[in-house]
Amino acid sequence: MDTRTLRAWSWVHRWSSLVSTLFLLMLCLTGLPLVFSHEIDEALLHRDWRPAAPGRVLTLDEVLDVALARHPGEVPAFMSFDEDRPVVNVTSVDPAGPPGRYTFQPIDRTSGDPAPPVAGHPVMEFLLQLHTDMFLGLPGMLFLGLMGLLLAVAVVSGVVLYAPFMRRLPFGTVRADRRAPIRWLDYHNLLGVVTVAWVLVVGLTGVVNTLAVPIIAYWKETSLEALAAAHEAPAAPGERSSLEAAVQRARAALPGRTLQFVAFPGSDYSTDRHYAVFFHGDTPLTRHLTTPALIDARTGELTAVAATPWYVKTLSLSQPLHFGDYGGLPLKIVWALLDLVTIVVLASGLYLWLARRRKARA
Amino acid sequence: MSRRDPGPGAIFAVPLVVGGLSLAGLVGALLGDGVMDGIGAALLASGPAVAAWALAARRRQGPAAGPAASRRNPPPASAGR
Repeated sequence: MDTRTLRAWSWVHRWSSLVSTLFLLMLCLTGLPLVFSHEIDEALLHRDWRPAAPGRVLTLDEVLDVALARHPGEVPAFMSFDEDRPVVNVTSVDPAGPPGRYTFQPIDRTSGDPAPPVAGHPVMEFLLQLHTDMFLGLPGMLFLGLMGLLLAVAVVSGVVLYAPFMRRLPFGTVRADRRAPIRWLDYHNLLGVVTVAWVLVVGLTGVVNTLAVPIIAYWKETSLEALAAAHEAPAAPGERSSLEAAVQRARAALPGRTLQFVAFPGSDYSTDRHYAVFFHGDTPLTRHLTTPALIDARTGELTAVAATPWYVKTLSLSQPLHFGDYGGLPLKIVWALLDLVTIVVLASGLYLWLARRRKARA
Repeated sequence: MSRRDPGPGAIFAVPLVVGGLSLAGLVGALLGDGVMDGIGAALLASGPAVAAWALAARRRQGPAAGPAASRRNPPPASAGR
């Protein structure tokens, strides 16, 4: 590599890193506890709880009525289902309230009583929000996505620069008896190069996750609306049809799958006229992929099964691959270890830049 | 006098193997449960494991520390060699 090319790559590596480092450090620090959010939520929120009336099962319509009666004026947005206890979680929203402010109620399906939450401790919610959008909504998400892209540029340029630096050194050499900048350059190169694959996967899936809002909005406005319009059946406007029956109808259309959540008409994941009943598969891979059945909310008839397009599948798979919560505790521990190594790489990169600046000024 | 530069193949041999194992681990744990999760975590741990090995075995002065650095600051140990 000639000197000019080397300088150009150095410039790319330096500035892509410098612009993004502080944000990436924040993401690594907040991401570390988030890897274990299930375990931390369980430790912080665990309470012995039993359903009030085992054996009795309220219909989903009864659960919905109970939830909305506790928050008059709100409309339902989502309904999800706990896997290991008879609890239905109702998310509702005040149509006149500030956008994005939801009410979340876990409800005992045997009695309609409130059930204790098992996720969403305020500390973890704070960290998640900081990690997702820095409390700035969509602009914050997109900005962090841009930082993720800069991370990818920094990693690629770092790999290019690794070759000239390691030309005379066997792999893994750390010149521990040399000046601190040389020693830390070796640590930076070693720890950086062994984490390239993981950092690129976590970084790029993070970028995809920051595009969740536009991806879902695009899907809703194109595929979902087109599907709904093509199958639009004339129906007299009237009372909303039974939710319980809608879910049973959807279940019959997608047998052998597991019910994950229902998106109500007008919510982000559905049209204005449908219950979108989402199911996931039962293999380790398809567990992360959802398919909705659209049920006309007025007639209760199945409108269509909406196979998700590639970009929604990509978003669905980007979530586990970013958060590392798909392979049990051993994978989470390795994830945390790699996160810590990445913190060392980022901090050492910053140190190397400062040391070089100090030397140039001296 | 100077040793022949190794090609990119030699420089990137270990990082490429570690990268391949890491990707196999990431995808493997996604495609299977149980044993596959364990194997996935083990493969993904190849990066930290190789780094730990290097820090234990190669945390010293390299046999050729680089001409620019040597010129400016020759380490005392190399003077006696």
